[in-house]
Amino acid sequence: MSDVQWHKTACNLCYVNCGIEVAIENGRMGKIRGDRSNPKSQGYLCNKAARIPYYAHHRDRLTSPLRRRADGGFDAISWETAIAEIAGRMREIHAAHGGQSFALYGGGGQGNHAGGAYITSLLRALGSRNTFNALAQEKTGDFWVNGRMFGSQHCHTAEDVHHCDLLFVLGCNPWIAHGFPNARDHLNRIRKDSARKLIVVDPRRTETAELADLHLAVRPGADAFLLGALLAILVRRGAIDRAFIDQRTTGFEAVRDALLGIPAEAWAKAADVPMADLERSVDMIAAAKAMVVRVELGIQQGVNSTLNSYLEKLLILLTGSFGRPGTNQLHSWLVPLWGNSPGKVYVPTGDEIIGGLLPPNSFAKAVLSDHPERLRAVFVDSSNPANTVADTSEAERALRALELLVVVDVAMTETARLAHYVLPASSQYEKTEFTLFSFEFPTNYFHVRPALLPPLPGTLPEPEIYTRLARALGLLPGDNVLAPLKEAAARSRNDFDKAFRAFLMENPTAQPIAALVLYNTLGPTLPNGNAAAAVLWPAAQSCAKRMPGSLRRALDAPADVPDRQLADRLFDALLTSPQGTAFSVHSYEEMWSLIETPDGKVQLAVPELLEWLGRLDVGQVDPNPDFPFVLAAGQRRMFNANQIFRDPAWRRSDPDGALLINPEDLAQLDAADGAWLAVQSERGRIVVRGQADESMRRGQLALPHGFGQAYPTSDGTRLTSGPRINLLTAGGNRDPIAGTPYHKNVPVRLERATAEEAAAAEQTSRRIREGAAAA
Amino acid sequence: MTYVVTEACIKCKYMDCVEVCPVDCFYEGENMLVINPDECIDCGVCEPECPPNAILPDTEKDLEKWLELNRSLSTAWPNITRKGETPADADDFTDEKDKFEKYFSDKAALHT
Ligand code: SF4
Ligand code: SF4
Repeated sequence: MSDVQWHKTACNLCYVNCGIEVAIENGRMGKIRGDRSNPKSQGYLCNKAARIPYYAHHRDRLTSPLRRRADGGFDAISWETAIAEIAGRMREIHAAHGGQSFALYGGGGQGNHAGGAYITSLLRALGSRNTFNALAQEKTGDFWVNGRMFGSQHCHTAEDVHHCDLLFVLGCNPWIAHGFPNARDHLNRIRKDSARKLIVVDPRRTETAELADLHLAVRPGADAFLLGALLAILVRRGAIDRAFIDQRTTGFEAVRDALLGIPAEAWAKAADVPMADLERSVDMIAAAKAMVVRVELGIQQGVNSTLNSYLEKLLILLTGSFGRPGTNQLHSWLVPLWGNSPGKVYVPTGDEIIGGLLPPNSFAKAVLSDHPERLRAVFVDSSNPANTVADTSEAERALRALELLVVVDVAMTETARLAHYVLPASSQYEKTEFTLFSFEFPTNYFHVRPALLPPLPGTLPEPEIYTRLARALGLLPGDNVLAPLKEAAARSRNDFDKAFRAFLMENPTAQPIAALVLYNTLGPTLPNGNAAAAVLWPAAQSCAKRMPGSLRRALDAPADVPDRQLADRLFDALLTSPQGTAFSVHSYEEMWSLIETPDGKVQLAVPELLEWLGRLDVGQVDPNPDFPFVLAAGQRRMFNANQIFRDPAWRRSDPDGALLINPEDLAQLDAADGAWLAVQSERGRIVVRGQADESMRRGQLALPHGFGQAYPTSDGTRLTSGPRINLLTAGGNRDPIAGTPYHKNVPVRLERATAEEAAAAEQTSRRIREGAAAA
Repeated sequence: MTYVVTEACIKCKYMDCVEVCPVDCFYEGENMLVINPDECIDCGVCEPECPPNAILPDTEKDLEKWLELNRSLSTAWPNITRKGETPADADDFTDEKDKFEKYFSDKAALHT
């Protein structure tokens, strides 16, 4: 064993961010194990974490800035040239069309939000707040509902699965997808305890449904009917918590009247769920002391998604399953991951801006429209819209139409191939990183991860890249101006605090670029190379101001420590706790301080959504004769993880990202298990491997996300593994309020692939598998 | 889905796996360990820890017998969460064949 060192850090594969320990051996990541000292995950991890080295070390890492040639190839250029040329183009576009013509796409993934803080700062300084990212493909409907019910789009529900006696799983499969800390461990505990129950609503008999006391196999796309019928029965039977409703909410009467108007039997039929099962669910809910509702993209990317989110919240609130141990709660933030932008509209597309974000489903329109404020220059940071935005052909057309496309990433993505400039970032374990995924209550955590390895030669961490650009653009003050701040930072935090406040008073135009000023002045003085965490310093101050009592408890600070020292204590704890640290501990009564409605009560009645509910027509669930199958585009499996892994060798199963299909549907096509099938939608046709799966409903299909990436074989040929699912999806198949895609309901038809298609797909698959086996 | 401990563990019992399991689902017999399949979360971190490669995913072929043994013995044997002392002669048995016929014991580990 040569020189093995174990380091604490976090998993970057999903938003749970389990604490891990990584063996660094000869400059590479090796073995990975759970970090038992992590206060949140306590040593837990899932099957994916051990594969992280495939993300960090592979032959498609970028090691030099690249400039695209007219013929589509790339030339390696120096960082100086790249920064100077990009800044030059930015200046020209800014001069001609203003800041509104710029946008950020992405700004981080499941394990990295540090870079996003700095590119956002740079774009603000240019006068742009336009940000597209995955949250606005998944969650903005939920944020919109939260804004209306809890008073701010920042308000966000947590789920205390660990202490519930009824877990109501709605449109997710936590056995495979996790989504809350220590998921499998807790599902196992619930299964083994006869006093604790599990209800699963999912069209498919998922791995989680297999563990359930009751599985409601809802018709794909009919979640709103199921939830509406369930709520109607709850209200009819009086299985609601009147005391809670009276004390904590307003608007109940309007909601009750709307729910009583629902024809529950007809809606249960539309949802293809027996009334008896809904009645039994109500029995279980009524009997539960603490129900927690766990939802995910199954309803948030299903038909009627924003309405689904509202009905889910009504289920929580009408039953009083809120603000108690074992129920749902709101959680605190160190820094909110998204904004609060009620009623704001993005003019070039007419979309509502929710949580400060723009919907990727409108990205192409934002570029291709003839509106004078259309997008002309886009930075893509840790994101791959060419694969992940609905309607790949249209997304690629928009990306190609830009006057300037700059991609900052660790690897050659499908989006990078279309960029004018590609800038190579250091991997998430070669620089300080953190995420804003702090979703826990009553104790909430934050994790700053120092670098485990030096940057791969040729790469730079994002804060450095954006510093250089801001300098070249003249947005970041020069060394002379910043020198006094640097000196103050070197003396003491207190001196820096004063100097920084004075600096912002004297330089009000530097306000938008403050994050980069902090990185370049306070940053270099921070321990463990954590300069990128400089932006958390104002966050710690705001946390101390907003919730001193909760912070004091989290830090276990003695009573003689004055409030004004709490922020520094928190900041120091963040910088020196590579296993993560708690930043807030609330009591259940204090949770109500996180609600932002003027009267501190939850607003149950949301007129637009009650109206939507009233408009629902059971005809909506009738099959489409041209496209008789319903495809879930983007299923979570054992070996997929967004777009972060590009080396196919990381997978231990499902190398082709197979299409799951009910065996009888497969038989009707006269196709064998494992045969190549062609999936045709309104937008496109792709060839995939079919895999018979008893857990699927008739007429339902599923393809995984996280495939469709090209990776070089040993001879350099780039082969694309698995489906590029968004070749099938359409931008217009989306939620009317949030613009989020209905990815769980893509209408398609199926046939056997032609002999030529099958032969080509088989050959590609074989070459990829051989390459993976040799890796 | 679970991982299972197989024949190669018999008389080797290095116990490195125990230290990494996030849910502490190893159980200790006299001369081997087993995994409780109902508690295992299939994370796979124990697999590379095992010097004689005794830990395998149950998706591999011909493991039914071992899956059954892991299931039944894990309910009879005591839970082990910290690595104990490896048998002094463990290395002598890593490559030996037919250990099940020769040495298998369903006795629980003796804990003092
Ligand atoms: S649950 Fe998520 S964060 Fe935890 S190990 Fe698995 S992928 Fe990583
Ligand atoms: S696979 Fe994971 S959970 Fe299962 S025994 Fe091994 S370490 Fe424990």
